[in-house]
Amino acid sequence: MSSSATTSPVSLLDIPELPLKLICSYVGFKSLQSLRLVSKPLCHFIDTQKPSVEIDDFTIRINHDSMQLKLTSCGLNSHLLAHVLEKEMLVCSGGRIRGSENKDYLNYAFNAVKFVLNTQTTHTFKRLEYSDEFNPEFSKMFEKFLTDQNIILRVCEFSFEGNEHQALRFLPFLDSNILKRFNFCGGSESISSDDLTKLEHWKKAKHLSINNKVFCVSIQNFSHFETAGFCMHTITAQDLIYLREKYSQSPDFSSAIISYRILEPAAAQVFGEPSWKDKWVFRCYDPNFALIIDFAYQHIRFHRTHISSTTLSVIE
Amino acid sequence: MSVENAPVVDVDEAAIPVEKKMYYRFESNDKKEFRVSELAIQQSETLNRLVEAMGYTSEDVENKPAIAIENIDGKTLKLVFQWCEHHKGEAIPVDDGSVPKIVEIPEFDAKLMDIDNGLLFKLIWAADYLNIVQLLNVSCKKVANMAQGKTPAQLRRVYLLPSDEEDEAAKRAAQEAQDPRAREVEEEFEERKRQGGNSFF
Repeated sequence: MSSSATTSPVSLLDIPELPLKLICSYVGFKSLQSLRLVSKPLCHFIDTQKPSVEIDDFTIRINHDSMQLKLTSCGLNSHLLAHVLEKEMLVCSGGRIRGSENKDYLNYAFNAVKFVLNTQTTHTFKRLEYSDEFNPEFSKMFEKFLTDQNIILRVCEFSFEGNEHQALRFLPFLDSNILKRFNFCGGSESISSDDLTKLEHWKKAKHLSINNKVFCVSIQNFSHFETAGFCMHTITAQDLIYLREKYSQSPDFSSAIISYRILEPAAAQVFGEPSWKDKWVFRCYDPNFALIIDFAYQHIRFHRTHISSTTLSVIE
Repeated sequence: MSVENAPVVDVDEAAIPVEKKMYYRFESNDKKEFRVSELAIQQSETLNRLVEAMGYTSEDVENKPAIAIENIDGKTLKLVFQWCEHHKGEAIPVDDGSVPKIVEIPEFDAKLMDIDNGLLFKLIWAADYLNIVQLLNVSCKKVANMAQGKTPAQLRRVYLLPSDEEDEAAKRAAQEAQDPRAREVEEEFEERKRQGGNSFF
């Protein structure tokens, strides 16, 4: 924090503000908290400058009577667990377990999440996992905090456990330009509205993985993903022709596994006889690539591969 | 110091193209002189602007005095220019705010920065002063890596930081050094207290 341009550094605190902030941003969350305890000037610097540390993974899980926070940054894990018992709340952190008379585990979790977010200005996470399917009270507190603080989370991969309604409420707090992968699971439900697929987050994401949700919407909403795993209620012949066309055209498409409840009879025959090992192989728009389609029990797999890894003659 | 005796930064002659390239001369604050290629200088925004503004010809470079860098010593400047020569021609990274910002330390840089912490802090200071973005990134990353798994007490030792108590003591000493009378007054006060009198009143 040297203010003089001619001061030669003898310790970390003599380094100018910009590089010192850069160093703090590289140390990771856990080490940054240790650095805060080193000295008052360093603590003040960290609290005021709020360097954005790399957070690889932040997991927030809220259950009926417990909460779990896990944060991974620069290879180091921070873990906080609180479990409400009959007479007290057990709190496990940093390898130590202690009892607390205060059993308000939701507030405890909320304050811990607030602490993590308040240490940063950019709120950037490589991966965020969020689940409070069984206790929506936490979501209300969390969403209000994000709204009041005007926070938009910069998350590359978002794993959400809950229902469609909860996902629709939470996704707008994420930067749609940053989100690349959306994993969605939770209680079984049927999704027939376009609300989710209309979101920019859905349209801009590259990777999708959905479990326990059955979609009754147009298959066109899924054709832009590079990798996808989802379940449709019904697959028609037109759906398969459409996907074959889109996936053949896309230079970025890699694979899609689509499960279904009903496969219309015409769909099963739409590609005729299998061309290679019970699979259908088509040449992509890029002649160096092939699109392979194969059926398994209640699943269809589309897979784009280099032409050299298949038998060229089957598509000639 | 004559140019002949100057500690010249090693240059891979085979890597130099046939056309004549300009080598600028720089001098550290302890009068050590360095010859640095035009391309290597481009890694430093500060030096690049400086030499552009000077508009030196090849003759000027030889005949005029070396460009003085008054804030950096020879030991640090040697490391800086070795880094610049090794990474000459490489694109200068732009912080586009993309997430996450990942910095990897190449083998050459790791060896170059295998130095004591005091010199490493000087290297960071120099990279910041000379605005060498990637050198700043890797050197800061190197210092950050030292913090991994350390307790606050260990961090204090690694980063050469005083504790709050030592810091307070140093501040008091500095204040006293500025005002010698303060020490005398304090000693007089302590003496009168020992004598049991409230004799200031």
